Order: sequence, then C-alpha cells, then structure tokens
Amino acid sequence: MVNLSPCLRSTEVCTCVMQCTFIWHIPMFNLRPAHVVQDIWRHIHSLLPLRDAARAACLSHSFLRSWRCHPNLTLNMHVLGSNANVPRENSSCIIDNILRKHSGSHIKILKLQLYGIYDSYQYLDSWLQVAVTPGIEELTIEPCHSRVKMKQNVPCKVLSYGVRNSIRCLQLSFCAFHPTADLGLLRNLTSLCLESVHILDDEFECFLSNSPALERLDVNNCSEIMCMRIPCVLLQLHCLKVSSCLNLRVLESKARNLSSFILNSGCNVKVSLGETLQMKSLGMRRSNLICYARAEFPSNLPKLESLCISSDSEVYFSQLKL
Amino acid sequence: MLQMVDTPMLPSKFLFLKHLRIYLGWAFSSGYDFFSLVSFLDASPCLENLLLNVRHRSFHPEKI
Repeated sequence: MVNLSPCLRSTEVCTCVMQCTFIWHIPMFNLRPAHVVQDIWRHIHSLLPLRDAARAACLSHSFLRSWRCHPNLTLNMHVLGSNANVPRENSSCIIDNILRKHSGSHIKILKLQLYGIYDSYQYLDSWLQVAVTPGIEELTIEPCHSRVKMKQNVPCKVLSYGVRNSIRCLQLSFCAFHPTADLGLLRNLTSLCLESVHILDDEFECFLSNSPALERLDVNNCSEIMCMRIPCVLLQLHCLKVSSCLNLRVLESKARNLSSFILNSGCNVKVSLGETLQMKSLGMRRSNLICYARAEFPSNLPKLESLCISSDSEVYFSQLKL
Repeated sequence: MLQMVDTPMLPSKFLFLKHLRIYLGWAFSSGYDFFSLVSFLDASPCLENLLLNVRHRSFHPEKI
C-alpha cells in the first residue's frame, strides 16, 4: 500500500498512485512475477512530469529505483525552480546530483536548457560526458548564453560511436559546434535543429553528409553560414526550414524528396532546389517573388498544396532560379 | 467608366493548391496592379483558404 504524502499536490501523481494501488489488489496482478510488476510501476512512473516523478521518488523505494533510471530528463530553470524556492546558485548543484545519480541508467531523452543558470558553463562538458551515453535518442543542448560573449562549444566527442548509432533527434541552441570529417555516420538521426549555433559552411555540410537518415532540418539564426549546401545523400529529407540566417547568400539543395520548404532569411539568397516535383508546402520571402511565382511555380511545383509567399517589392523580374 | 486591365495569367494551374497566403510589403511601387493577383485564384481550382496581407498606403481594398 502506498501512502500519499501531504506534500503531494499533483493530481497526476495522486491519480497514478491510486491506479497503482488499485491494480495491486487485483488477484491476477499479484500472480504476475515481481519483475513484471516492477516494470509496470516503472512505466507508470516514467509517464509522470519530471518534478512529479522526482517527488514520487520520496514515496517508496520502488519509485526511487524508477527515478534513478527515469529515461526522460528535461532540466531547466522552470523545472528546477517553480514552486520550490530553489536559489539560482543551487541549480547547477541539483542538475549535477540528478545527472550523476542517473549515470549508467541509459537516458533516452535529455534536454539541458541552461538559460539563467550562469555558472553552468563550468560543468556542461562533464554533464554531457556523464549523461550522453549509447542508447540516447533525443538530445537538446542549450548552454547559458546571457553573460557569456563567446558561445560555449559543444564538443564532438559527445557524439561517440554508440551515441551516433542511437540518436534520432539533435537540437543545439546558442552554442558553437564544429564537427569534422572524421566524426562518422549518425545512422538514425532523423531530426536536426540548430538555433543560433556558430557553425561554418563546410562543417555544416560535412555533418549533413554524415546524417543520411535525416528527415527534418531546421536552421535558425546561424549567422556564420553563408553558403548552405544540402547533399544528395539526404534521400529521406522532406522538411527544410531556414530562417533568420542573415548572412546566407546561397542555398543549394540536392535532396530529391523535399515536400516542405520554408526560407525566411533575407532577400538576397540565391536558391537552387533541384528536384521539386514532390513539394507540397512552400513558404518564401523575397523581392519580386510574386512575379516569379506566377511564372514558374505551377510547372515546377505541380503538387503544391500550401503556398505562402511574401514580397517587399515587385519592380524588377527576379533572377531567382529554383 | 469601364477600364480594361491587362492581368497576366499563370501558364498552368496549381491543381492541388488548398492554402494560399500572400504578404505584400511597404516597398511596393504605387503603380503596382493589385488586380493581377487574381491570376492566382484563376489558377487554383481547389483553393480553400486565401489570406492576402497588404501593408501599403496605396492599397484600397474597397476598390477591389
């Protein structure tokens, strides 16, 4: 029988615990092997929001064991600080404790969103070393960027061989990332999102070439990218979104199965999309786009279902070539 | 007085287009023929949603 702590306020936790207590008393349930019961408890516990999962760990050894291998960790000021009166200077300490006690537990989803946690830059490398292990599927890294002029570097060694084989989604924000040609394949990476990331043209192209399973690519405010080349090996890529890359001058895609393309990065980008017959959704902003769309889009984009075009002026015929 | 306008038509049609959004900015020349946008409607037989957003002082919706 699980005792409800008076400090618990979450309806989700209460509901979950009551459900657990209920099924615990079903005769059939008691006949199941102990490890099956433990698996059910663990599964229910894994569905709780992070704060509730941590609180529930205070209830029983069973939940504590589940908490130590909770597969989904989202750590940010909101999660750590809300309703807990936690001083900001303790946030890094709490994150450090959580990650070290989860070491070896094969975290599947890790989101380190460190905005507002000013001393976290000292620990990021060691946190990634402890928490990013083979088996991880989703990784979000957003270092604290408020008081640091230089963007903190996310080292490529985080993407070890085992991690490269398991990771499906990678999101990097407000950091520097400099992958090299010898990084190796990321066989299962399907989604890549870069926001305000310091990455150079050749590094970006090299990383894409090593990600043949990529389906979604979102690049936002990466101002060092001037020439973006999407290699032809990305046969699965169907969604490409490029926005606020203010220094972008050339966007050349050789991905043949794009069905969604959004470009909102200034008006002087020379765009080359190659094969566009599968395109169903397109959004672009640039001068003279109305005139160009009228002349070229119906024949070049025959399967278009959704079109969003934005033009600031329509004076000269565009040199844009799709 | 009836005025004839030369509205360019699209060379072929958007046979599957359901959603169309057009945003026009401030830098349009005052002589721009907003009527020409009708050609997109003519070329989109399956259109379900249309959003036209014009931010220009010379644009007078009541004339359309």
